[in-house]
Parts: sequence; structure tokens; C-alpha cells
Amino acid sequence: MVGKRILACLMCLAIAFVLSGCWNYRSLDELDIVVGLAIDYDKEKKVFWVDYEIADLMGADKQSPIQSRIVRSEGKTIFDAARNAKRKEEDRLYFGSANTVVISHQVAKEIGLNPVLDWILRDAECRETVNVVISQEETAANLLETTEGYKGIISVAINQIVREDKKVTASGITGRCSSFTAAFTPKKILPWCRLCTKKCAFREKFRSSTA
Amino acid sequence: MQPFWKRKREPKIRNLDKKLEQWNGSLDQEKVKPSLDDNMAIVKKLFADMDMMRYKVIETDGKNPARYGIVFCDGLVSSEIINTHIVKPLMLLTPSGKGSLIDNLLTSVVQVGETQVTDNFKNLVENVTYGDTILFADGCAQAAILSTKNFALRSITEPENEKVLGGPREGFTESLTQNISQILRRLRTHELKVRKLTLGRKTQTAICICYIESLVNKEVLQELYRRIGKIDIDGVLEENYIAEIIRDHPYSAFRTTGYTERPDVVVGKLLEGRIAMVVDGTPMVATFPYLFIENFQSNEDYYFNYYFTSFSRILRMCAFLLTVVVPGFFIAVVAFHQEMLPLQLLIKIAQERQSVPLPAAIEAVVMLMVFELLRETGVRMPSNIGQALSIVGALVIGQAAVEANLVAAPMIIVVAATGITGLVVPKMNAPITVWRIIVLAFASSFGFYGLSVSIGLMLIHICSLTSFGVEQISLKGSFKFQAIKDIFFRAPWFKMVVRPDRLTSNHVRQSEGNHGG
Repeated sequence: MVGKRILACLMCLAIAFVLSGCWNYRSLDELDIVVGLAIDYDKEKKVFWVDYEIADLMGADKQSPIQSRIVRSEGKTIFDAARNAKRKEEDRLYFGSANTVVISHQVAKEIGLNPVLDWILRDAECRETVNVVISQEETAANLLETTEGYKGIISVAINQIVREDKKVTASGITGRCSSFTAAFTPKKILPWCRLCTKKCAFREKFRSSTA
Repeated sequence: MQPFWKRKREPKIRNLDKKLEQWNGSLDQEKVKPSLDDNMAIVKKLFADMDMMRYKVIETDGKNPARYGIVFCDGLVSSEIINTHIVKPLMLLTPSGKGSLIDNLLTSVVQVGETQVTDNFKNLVENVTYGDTILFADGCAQAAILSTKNFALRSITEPENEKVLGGPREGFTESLTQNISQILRRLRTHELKVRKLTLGRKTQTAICICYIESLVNKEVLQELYRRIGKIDIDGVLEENYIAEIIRDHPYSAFRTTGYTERPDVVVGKLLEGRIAMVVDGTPMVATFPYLFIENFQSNEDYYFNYYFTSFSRILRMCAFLLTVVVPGFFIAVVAFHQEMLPLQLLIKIAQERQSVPLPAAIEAVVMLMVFELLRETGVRMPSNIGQALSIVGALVIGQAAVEANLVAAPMIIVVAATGITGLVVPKMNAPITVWRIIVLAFASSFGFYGLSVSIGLMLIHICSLTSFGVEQISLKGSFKFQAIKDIFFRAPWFKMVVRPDRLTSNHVRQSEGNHGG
């Protein structure tokens, strides 16, 4: 019965392959590769405007440099905006390769970097190594919409400029998201919890210390 | 009721052997008769409807009138030997001596070096069908077998599928004796033993087991004889018939017996304590035991500068890993772990994939099949239509499919890399084909997790392999120089002072420190 035993094992394995449904399989042609983001704030409606620069894979032919297109969405938080953006696109947005986040100077001055940096750090795909740039233009989106003198993806160019600047002229301090966070987060909070019984001496101690 | 996988199959009654014995027995027990006419009648009956057999009766008168019969098979014999050294002396000379008539004939009449006397028809049949001549004498219940073999053989040429840049260019041929002679010529010692066996009920194929007595591992030799002794097969046309029956791990895709077409390789392996099996009718010589590293070793490694050949050997190992892993790795990256790709590469690959109809995993399977088809066609097709294949392969599949956006260009590159690296180690074509598909299936189902699981499975499987009880990969954890001198690199000859310790207990190969003048 060795043959049947092997057959049974093979059948179990075959089921495993089908039932897994190709877990986490995401086809490259069903992704919108977000290269950069620009974040503005609308004071009247109290919403964030987020512009996504997406590599435009369909438009360009293979010889010329790849162009990008811009998708804009709004939301009460960055996360909300990112979800709203998905409704405008047929494919899902993929943030894993984003390398530049442009923040308008209004956001930086009035709201602070925290909501933005917080989202970058918490999002599963976004990397902590993205470059954070503060735009001096009227809106952050203006920077991504630049057409003068440069063909191709603006975010890639910004990334390149920031990186080269550090080496060549050293005129500014460049920082990636992680270092920004470290520098601009005023209070460092470590979330923690502890299971205590009623008579836990530690709990009493903790209460007295916080009171 | 027991579940179906626990039920025992009833042992099949093997009455085949008994039937065979009965059938063979009739020939085995058939003895040579004293009467020449009876003998000739039996031979004619055995070879009825076999028109290549020639029968001749010679009668002499004079002092001692005698009658002789000779039987031979046309096409296998040298008619010159038969005419001038058998027929002519039989007609002219009279036997003298004290022995039986047939012995006297052999000692004083027939001018043939290799002779044998028998009274068994089975023996006669086996030899006459291999180009020998039977000599019957009237009144004698024995027959002589005279060696008159002469058949067309291929001349010694360089093996087509084991090309080398330098070193000996001789290859084995289909003749057992010629092959043995090529080994003997290179090993002029009494310690070289050549044991002859016969296998195959119908083909009666001669097989020679060669080894060097002082080097061979006796347990391996005993085990080999034991396994060969159990074989009962009707025909042996190639070394693989036997190797596949007697090998360890018969269901593994990896080789556990070696083969080569080169006499220098065989002698090299004999000198390391291995056993060679030469099979009549094929230029392939099997070697046992077979270590895993032999898949990557080439005889050239020992003939050229060791820096270069060590590099080549590492290339071969990388090629094996690449050809197994690359398709699965590519699918895992493209379909699961896009984070692994730098932005520019990601955009390029994504751009190519935009208008391609099939998912990456299926595309990989299809393209691999196309490549395998092209390769198989290249082997099987008549050689004078090779141009058609290259046009179809290169233009239609390479260019047109990409331009029509049916297949993504990176996939073509991946398949090409897979295919080319797969051809570097031709001895591993079976494991490569099997494990490439397994790795691909796992990787395209579970990403890098599946990739690492499948590669892990493969490594565990390789580590569990043995060849005639010898581990294919030594896991003793010895990293002494002499243990690894011929694994990942080939140490210079003056440093290879001992033989592989897994193969032989007679270690010392050369006295130490005889280098550099």
C-alpha cells in the first residue's frame, strides 16, 4: 500500500497548494508604485490633501525615461487620505518604494510633523528611510508638479538632490524619517502594560507614583 | 476495517524464476552426444529459422578416418581464422596425444589460441552467438569452443558529451575488451583486479568489475556483489540498467552511482578506492561509490592549474544552485516581496509586466517548458535542420513573444539564465529538473518562506543520501585541510597527500613535502 500512501500524501499536499490561494500573492501589474508623497493641509475644511506621485508604467515607451502621474486625495488623517486614494485608482497603492515625502511649510509650522511621521512609521509598507522634505512653495504639491527642466519622476530627482547635496555642498542637514522622528518627537513614550492582581504591591506603588 | 494505507499487500508468488529454471534447464541439461550427426541435429534444431548460422562437416580418410563438425555464426567471425587455422589443419593433420579426441585436436591440430572444452549446450549457444566457433568431433561427447571473434567496432574517439580542453582524448567504446584494455594500459599493477560476470537472461551481457585490491573498501565490494547477484533481468544494454537497480535511494533524483566515458577518469576513481563496472556494449562505465561532490568534479580539474580549476568548480556549484533557485527566487520577488527590489529595477520590471496576460508564476512554468522543449528538440532532431530550430527559438520566442507583449522580457532573461546554468552540470540534469519545479511551486505559493522551505528540504535530502553505504556528503564537521582539499577547490597536487577517507582505509597517496624542488 506504499503507492496509495504516497498518493494520499500527494493529494493532501495538492490541496494545501490550492487552499493557500497564493497567500499574499500580489501581482506586479496590479500595483501602483508610489514614488513620492506631498502633504498639504486645508485649514477651512480641516482635511489633509495628499498627492501621490505614481510611476506611470502604461504611458511611457521603453526608450524614454518613465513619467509619473499625480493622484490627489483628501482625508482627516494621512491614513484616511491614503484609503480614499485607493477609490480613485483601479490598482492598490504600494508605498514600499516611496523615497520622498514632501511636507508643505504650513503643515510643518502649524500642525507639526508628528501626524505625518507617525503615519510613516506605523504604516506597514512605508519605509523609515524615506527622505522628508519641507516645501517652500505655496503648497507641497507644487513641488511634485514641477515640469521645468526635468523629465521623469520628480520624487526620484528630489531624492537624488538631497542625497548628493549632503556629499557635495553640505549646505543643509539631510534627514531621513527615522532621524526626523527622533529629533522632533518631544516626548518619548514607551507603551507598556502589566498584568496585576488586586493585591499587587507594584500597582499600589504605581498609583502613588502617578498620583 | 483497517484504513487502506495500513493494509498489507499480499506477497506475490514469484514463480517466474522457477519457470525460467525449467526453461533454461532444458538447455542446461542438454549434453553433447558422442555422435556428430546427433550434435549437428541438435544445433540445427536450436537455431532453426536462424539463417546466419553456418554448419560444416569435415571428413578425413587415411590412417585414421575422422569426421568433424564446425558451427559458427556468419558476420561475427573471422573467416580467415576459420579457413586457414581450423578447417585446413583439420583436413590435413591427424590428432596425436594421450587425451580425449577433442583435447588432442586442440593440442595438436587447431591453430587457435583461446579455446575451451565443454559438454554443455547452454555454454555452446552463449559462445557461438558471440562469434566463437564450435568444433564437434565424431565419437567424442565433448565440444570445443574456438575463439574466432571478429566484428565491426567503432574506433576509439573522444567522447562527445564529456568534452575537455586538455588531457587524454581517448574515450571508451562499445567493446568490453577494448575498454578493459584502456584501463589496463593505465594501471600496470597486479593489484588491479578485473572480475567478469554475466548478466541478462537473453543478452548474456558480459560485465567487468574492476578495482584495486589494496585500496578498495571490501564492504562496499561485498555489497556490490550482493546487489548484482540479486538481479534477474532479461537484457542489459547499458550501464544504467544495472546502476538503477542496485543504487541506494532508488527514488531520489540525485545520482548515487557515477558514470563516465573516459578511461582516465575511471583510473583516477580506481586510485581513490572506487569500483568501476564496465558493461559490454556501452561506452558508459559506472563507478561506485558516488560522492555528491563528484557531480561537480571534472577530470580537467586535475590537469590544469589549480587556481583556474578551483574557480571553475565553484562556478559549477553556483550554476547548480542558480539553475534550481533562480526561477523560484524571481517569482518570490516579483509576486510577494517587491520591497526587495530597488526602485529603478522595480519600475522596469513592473513596466514590462503591465501588459503581459499571464501571472508571473504561470509564465515562468510556460517559458521553462518552452526552453526544455527547445533543448530536447536540439538533441533529438536530425542535425541538418538545426538552423530552423535556432530561428524559431531565437526569433519567434525570444523577440516576437516579447514584442507582442505575450511574455515579459525579464522572464526571458531569467529562463535563459536558468537554462544556461542548467547545462553546466550535465550529470545533474535529473535533480535540476525535479527540484527546480518543486522550488518554483513552493516559491510561487508562499514567497520567500516557500523558497527557503523548499531549499531546506533539498539540502536535507542531499545530506541523507548514501551510495553503497557511504554518505554522499560527510557531516562529521571535519574542516581539516586534507578533508576539504578536493571539495570547494582543488588543492595543488603536492598537497593532496591522502585519499578521501570515506572511500578507502589506505590513505597515503604520496609522501609528504615532495614539492618545489
